[in-house]
Amino acid sequence: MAASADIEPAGNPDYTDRHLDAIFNEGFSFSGYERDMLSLNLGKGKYLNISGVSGTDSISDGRGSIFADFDNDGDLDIFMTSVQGEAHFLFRNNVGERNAFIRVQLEGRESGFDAYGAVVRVKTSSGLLTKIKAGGSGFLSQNDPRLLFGLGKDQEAEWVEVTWPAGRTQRFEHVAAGSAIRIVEGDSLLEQIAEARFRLVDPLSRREEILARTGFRKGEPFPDLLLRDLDQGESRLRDLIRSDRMTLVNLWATYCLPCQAEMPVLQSMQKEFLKAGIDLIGVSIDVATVGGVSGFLEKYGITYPIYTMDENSLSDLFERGEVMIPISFLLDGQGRIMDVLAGWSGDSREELERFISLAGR
Amino acid sequence: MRVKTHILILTALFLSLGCGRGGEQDLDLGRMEAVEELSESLANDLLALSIALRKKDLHTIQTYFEENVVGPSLPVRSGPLEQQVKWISRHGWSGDANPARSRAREEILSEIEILLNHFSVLEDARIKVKEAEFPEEGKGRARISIFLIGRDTAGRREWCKGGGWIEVVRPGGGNWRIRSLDLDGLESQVADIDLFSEVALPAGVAAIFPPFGVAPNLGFASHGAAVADINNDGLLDIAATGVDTNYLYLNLGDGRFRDISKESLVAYAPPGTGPVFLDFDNDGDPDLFFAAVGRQILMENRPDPDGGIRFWNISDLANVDVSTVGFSAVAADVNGDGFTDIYVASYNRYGEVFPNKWYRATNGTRNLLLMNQGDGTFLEAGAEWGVDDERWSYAAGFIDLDGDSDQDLYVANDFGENALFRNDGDHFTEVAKEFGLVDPGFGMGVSFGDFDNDGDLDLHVTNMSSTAGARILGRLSPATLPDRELLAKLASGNSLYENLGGGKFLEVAARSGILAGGWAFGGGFIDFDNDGWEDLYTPNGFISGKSMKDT
Repeated sequence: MAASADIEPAGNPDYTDRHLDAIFNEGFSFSGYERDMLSLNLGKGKYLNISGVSGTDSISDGRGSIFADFDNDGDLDIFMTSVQGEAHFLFRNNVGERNAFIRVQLEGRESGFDAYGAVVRVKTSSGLLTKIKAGGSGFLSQNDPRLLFGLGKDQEAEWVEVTWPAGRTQRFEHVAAGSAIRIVEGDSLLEQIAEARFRLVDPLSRREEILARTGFRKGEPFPDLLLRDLDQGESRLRDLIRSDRMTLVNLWATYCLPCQAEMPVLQSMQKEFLKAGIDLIGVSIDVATVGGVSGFLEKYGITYPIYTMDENSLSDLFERGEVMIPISFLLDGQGRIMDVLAGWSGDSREELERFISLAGR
Repeated sequence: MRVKTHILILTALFLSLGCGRGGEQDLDLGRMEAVEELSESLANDLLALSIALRKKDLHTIQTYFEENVVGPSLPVRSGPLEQQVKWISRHGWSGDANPARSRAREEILSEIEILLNHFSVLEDARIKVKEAEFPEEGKGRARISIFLIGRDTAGRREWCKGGGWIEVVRPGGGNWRIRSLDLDGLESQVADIDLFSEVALPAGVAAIFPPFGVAPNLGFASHGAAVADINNDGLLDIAATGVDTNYLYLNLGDGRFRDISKESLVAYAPPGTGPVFLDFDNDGDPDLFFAAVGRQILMENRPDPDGGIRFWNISDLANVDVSTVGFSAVAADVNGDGFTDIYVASYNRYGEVFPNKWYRATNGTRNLLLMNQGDGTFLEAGAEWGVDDERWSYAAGFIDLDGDSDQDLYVANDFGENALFRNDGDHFTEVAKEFGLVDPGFGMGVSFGDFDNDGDLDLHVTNMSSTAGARILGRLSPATLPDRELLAKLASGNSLYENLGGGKFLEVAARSGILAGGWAFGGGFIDFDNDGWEDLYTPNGFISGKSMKDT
């Protein structure tokens, strides 16, 4: 029986069934926070689960994944998609490049250019390695259209054989390890492909990641916020920055618990900052709670310069990404971002001391 | 009492299989639900304890223990590190050889502290309830599993896991408290090097979706990715789908990507679900098809005269704008005319939350077969080819399984049996049973690879495994359940079918040790270390809420 021809136009099916209330309205999980799996083939039909030490075991709600050599360094990296939150993951492979490989690129003629469904067999000391050029696999995913064969420590493959979807089989003897080859359907010559080998970027340190999430970058100018002092006098941040000194802009709010721990420490270090050539400025992001700022400063004994912001300035700050408070930006004499300190923890004071030595050099 | 989702699904499954029906029904579903209710409350308390462990928050940890705890010393001293395989080492854990006795809570806490401080970074800690019984009000006994994941003091990734037994009490309606604890088989895996590094953000391919259930992320439509060299520079570029847009990332060749979703026009097509690159017009560059909830989408790769990358939405011109609840799209030349055709695996019907039959659902939307006419247009011919069934199809793969030089089609279905369609030249015939590839359960992903290097392609199918599901099934006595084995299969996890040749497959997942993969979706075979043996990667996890507590 055929389905009714017309359904609702693009847009996702809306699920509001009462059984899912717990998930939607009470914030419960349903098989959530699971760690993605990686299992190592030990040969002899056995696998060893190495998920927890693999670096690929995100707790996101993983859906699709593609296996592809994005940096042409001879191993398969993983791009993974999830259903909410951080939605794209890119896992750089650090280990496959230690072994030899052969990469096979197929170009169909009779079978169509894609030649999806073509099967390549490679004879190595590990056996008869077999792969299919798939036009989609896994879940909502499609892998590297080039087929990568791991050769372990072998110097060459005894032979490489392709069976095209249209039926023809071609075999090539003695293919050297490290080769990237193109096979054209019906063509008896192997073409060597010159590939640019490089390496996907390095992972970020925690500090770099927090900075990256704010949407700001080191070396870029910090927004010229419109600030208001406690007497409602307006000034631009740029006018407060002295060109022969650095400025430490600490963003905080009255309702922020870690700020209550951080600000007294900032206060206690104020003299050291000044001596080292750093002007400390506190900027409250309170809007509805802005009336509590003065009381807060009094309660915690804060005497360094404090400013508040209007909503336009706030949107200048938040429009590029995710800014979590407390966060402090160290700016140079031209208002460019030199460093960042995010959150407040046991080693935050050390970080502030590092800022001081940075300025004092 | 809130309906427990796992109970709901499993009892419905159970009844739909015809078990426990009739006058001699000896299965007490009410009792089963009551026990599961207690198990779940214990599991959720142990999750809260897990979070405290991860934070090394001893103050909170102690609130989950009675003042005196019975048991032997905890095995918290790490043993010598020995190589396990390649870059993986392992070590055991030992405690003092004292027999079980009643010990002060402080003694337990100081042991726990030693264990936690073995890790310089503790990324995750989890205690799960594998089975539990509650012989009297406010008292329980459970078999647990435990794991800790982080980095050791030398900065190496370490995964400590084991199991044990606990006895718990719940005095006066508070949280469950541990009154006896016996951990066993604690063992750690340590990686000598970082096998993988996550680099989405610095590489320029990071994206954030709203939390599930928050507009516009309101549906169960998932999002995937595809890869191809779109501008013929020898570098692989990425297409991905999202909640309210599609993505195209251009590989810059320096380790980074540039988001060209908008300038390439890919962002302006309606958001898709499953993307797939194919060269539908055989002009040598990959075009982009999106399966979609609604009308299907085809974008032609046609660069500007100045070389600018453009994908033009030609869905209506090419007649692919057929409506369905499309999930995965897979491409191959079905009729041997040299032009690539497209199959769209379609899931539920719009607005239908639950399948009509938990075991053989047939109230989904029809699957599509878009036959490439070779003139720039497609013709939807699912009915003519016999693949327009309305099962809840999630994923598929083309492969010539019978060696007759045409592409057969394997389809993974949720809530039911999978399909294998043999290509008979002008139509498909379903032959899953003959090949031994029915794979009952909750099929979600399809991957072909040769895991035993014998020259033929084996099949990996992702399915779901669930601790709660296994717990519930464990309580069903064999006597009441003629199909217990089948039921057990449904919640046990992924399948691995070894190709025996001659059109026969044998399921070997349990034997191979890859069965339980959580609520697994995509992924499959990847030889990540180039040793010539296909490893397996499977992303998983259904819905993570604000709370880790499970419903």
